[in-house]
Amino acid sequence: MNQLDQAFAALADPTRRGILVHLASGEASVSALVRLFALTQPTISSHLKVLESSGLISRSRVAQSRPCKLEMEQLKAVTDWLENVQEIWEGNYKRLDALLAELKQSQKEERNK
Amino acid sequence: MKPAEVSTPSDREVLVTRSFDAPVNLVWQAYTEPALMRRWLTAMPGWSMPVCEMAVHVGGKYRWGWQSENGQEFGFMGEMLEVVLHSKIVHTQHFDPGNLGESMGGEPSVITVTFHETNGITHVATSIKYASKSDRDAAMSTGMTDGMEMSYQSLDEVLAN
Repeated sequence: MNQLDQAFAALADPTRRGILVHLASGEASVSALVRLFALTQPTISSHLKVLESSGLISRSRVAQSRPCKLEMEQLKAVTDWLENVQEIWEGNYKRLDALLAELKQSQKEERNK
Repeated sequence: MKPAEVSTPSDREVLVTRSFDAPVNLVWQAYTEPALMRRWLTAMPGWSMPVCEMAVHVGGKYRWGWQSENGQEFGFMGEMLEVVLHSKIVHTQHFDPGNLGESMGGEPSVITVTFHETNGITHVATSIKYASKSDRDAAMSTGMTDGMEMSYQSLDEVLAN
């Protein structure tokens, strides 16, 4: 899998999304994440491994606790695309809202005839 | 209604969900009758949908074509795999690059649209399953080069489930 594939797969899991949201407010150690998510250390570690190989996070080699840090650039590549998709669909859906309101109205008028 | 939500249930799938303030029979009409589809499925500002042919039954073909004010064209076409009135449409989707000169790979995506009404509100879920990772990547790069204005959205919004 290339990194973008891995990023998509990584984002498919709610715990991993939760970890990313948490890291958006700053770096965190594994033990902090274990406490926060009330999961076992091996579970958190395996999620972090997936996130790290997808390029969405990095782990410091300096401190012994090896804190996790969000990698904004990779995340932005994925979120930009998702957002673009969202904009196109929402544009269509707003027009559909208007059309449906019109259809509802004419159905009502039809009934009242 | 809340804006559409986009998520990635797997590395080859994109899921778009949205609710509409209308009963399912009207939403179904808007999704299946060309005269109605043309009015909302215009994709982007400045674009229209001059081609919209639908044969809404299993094995039926459809063809959608868009055109921009400055003459760009592209489209989608495919076949209906499953049609359940007021409930579900599954169809294949081939990208027709028109004169955009881009390719979206050879294999068709599979689109599944489900409709579910509760108390007069219809919930629509659209799943786009790309045939392969390279098709998804191609679709992604096409989206990226559409020239659409992209503003950065907060993390929480995109990642919130």
